Amino acid sequence: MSSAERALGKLTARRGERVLGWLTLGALVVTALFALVISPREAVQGNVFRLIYVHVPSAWLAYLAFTVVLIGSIAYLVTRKIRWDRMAAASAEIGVLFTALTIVIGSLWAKPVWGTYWTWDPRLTATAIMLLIYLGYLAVRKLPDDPAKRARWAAVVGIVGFVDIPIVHLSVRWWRGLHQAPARLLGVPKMAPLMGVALMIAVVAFTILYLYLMALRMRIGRAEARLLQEALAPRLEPAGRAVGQDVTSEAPARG
Amino acid sequence: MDNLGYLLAGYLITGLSLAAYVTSLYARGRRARRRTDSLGARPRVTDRP
Amino acid sequence: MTGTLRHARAVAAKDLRIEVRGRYAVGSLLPFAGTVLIAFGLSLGPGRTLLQQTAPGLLWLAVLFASVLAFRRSYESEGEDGALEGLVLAPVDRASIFLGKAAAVIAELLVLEVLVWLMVVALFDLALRSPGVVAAAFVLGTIGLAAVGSLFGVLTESARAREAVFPLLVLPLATPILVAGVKATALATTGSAGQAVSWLGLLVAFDVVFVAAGTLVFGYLLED
Repeated sequence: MSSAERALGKLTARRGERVLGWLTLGALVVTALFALVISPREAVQGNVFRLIYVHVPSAWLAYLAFTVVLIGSIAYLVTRKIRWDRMAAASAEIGVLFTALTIVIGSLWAKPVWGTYWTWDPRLTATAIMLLIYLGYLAVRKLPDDPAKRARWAAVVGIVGFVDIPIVHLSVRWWRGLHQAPARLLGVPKMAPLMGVALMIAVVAFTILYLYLMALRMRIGRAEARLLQEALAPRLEPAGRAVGQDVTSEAPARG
Repeated sequence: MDNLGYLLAGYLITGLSLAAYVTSLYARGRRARRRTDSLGARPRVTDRP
Repeated sequence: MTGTLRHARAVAAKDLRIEVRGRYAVGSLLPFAGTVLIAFGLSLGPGRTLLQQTAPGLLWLAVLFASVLAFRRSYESEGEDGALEGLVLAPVDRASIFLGKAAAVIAELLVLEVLVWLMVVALFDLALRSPGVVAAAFVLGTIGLAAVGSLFGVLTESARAREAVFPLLVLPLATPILVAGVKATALATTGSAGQAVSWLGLLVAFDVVFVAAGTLVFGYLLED
């Protein structure tokens, strides 16, 4: 890419990110409106039920994010273009955030409805295992210093981890004695149509949020890669300074 | 109704964690740019004089 | 294909030879497993019912931890004198390293499991009903653990992985093995061998998926 193309790319990326940012904010405001005000109070659980409008979209986002990690991992191993690894890394970080959020919100929801924060509910348990797997992904990224090796190792974890998820879900569900898919989400009763609408809006809003976070996180990834390049470039040092001193103190070894 | 506490906690945690994450990302970006610029100010070794 | 298997057997033979000379499985893993079981016995006992109920779980936990240690050592020995580089440079399909190391650890773990089983039967007074189903569960479960451990054991070349990352990866990924193994063992030893069979099916599925996946992606971890 020529420097002109690159500059243009940077400009549109930045503007696109800003647009997504405002869109996200708007969508989340609309979501909050529907979730907290417009949608009716649930008959059995009361207002706590409104946590569903955060819990379900978070879970959806986590699975979406880890699917993108899979895609990025495979794409990197095939093409060896670092931008795919950057996409995988960004999506994994976001995925871990939303997985943790899913579990926390799920626990807060469980306490008033079921009396305890943790009930070994098959979905939440499998989600917790999924969180550990992708924390492992992020940990593996910290191991190698070479970006290509990091990308390769992370890609393997990203693929194998994803493949394990359905097996984990199945085994945990059987472990709890449920041999059919649970018809209810966390004991969700039949929902009024307006609730369904609110949930759909929430899912769409969170998807826009994901796109914004991805755009932002990938920009950071590019910036840090550029920093590493600058740090590693051989430079003339003023007399009296040890060569390489700045590299160790300045360049963050981030992945 | 007591359960409003859980509802509030849930939405607050969501909002705050997202805001914290976005803020930290912006901070990382600024830090990376600042360090890149400060490093870039130093002359590079080149073959041409 | 046959070349890969032949090379895998060579790798396995090499690892087993090292094991026989070093006696890691018997010398270190067995005492470790024994310590784990006795520690649990002390903390949960001496009431027999609780110990009998928890015995399958403790047994599988001991096997799980032992597999992590076994692969750590398996790849640690490759770190000395550039042995791993030598293996990689040899004209063998990289998957054969994956399969060979897995096979060697499976053999070690199976020996360990028999001995640990005897310990559990003695310490926790566990009935030895449906030995066939139980044996199948342990064989299948060990294969699965070996697939995961042999794949990610490569990461222990990095010192940081040796400390915490390798177990962090293996344990969550291996949860289906833990769940299925414990359930199958518990069901079999309490007389419901029929129900145990569906759990064996899950173990088979896990093994197929992870051995296949490991064979396919192992090479990427070794590239340099």
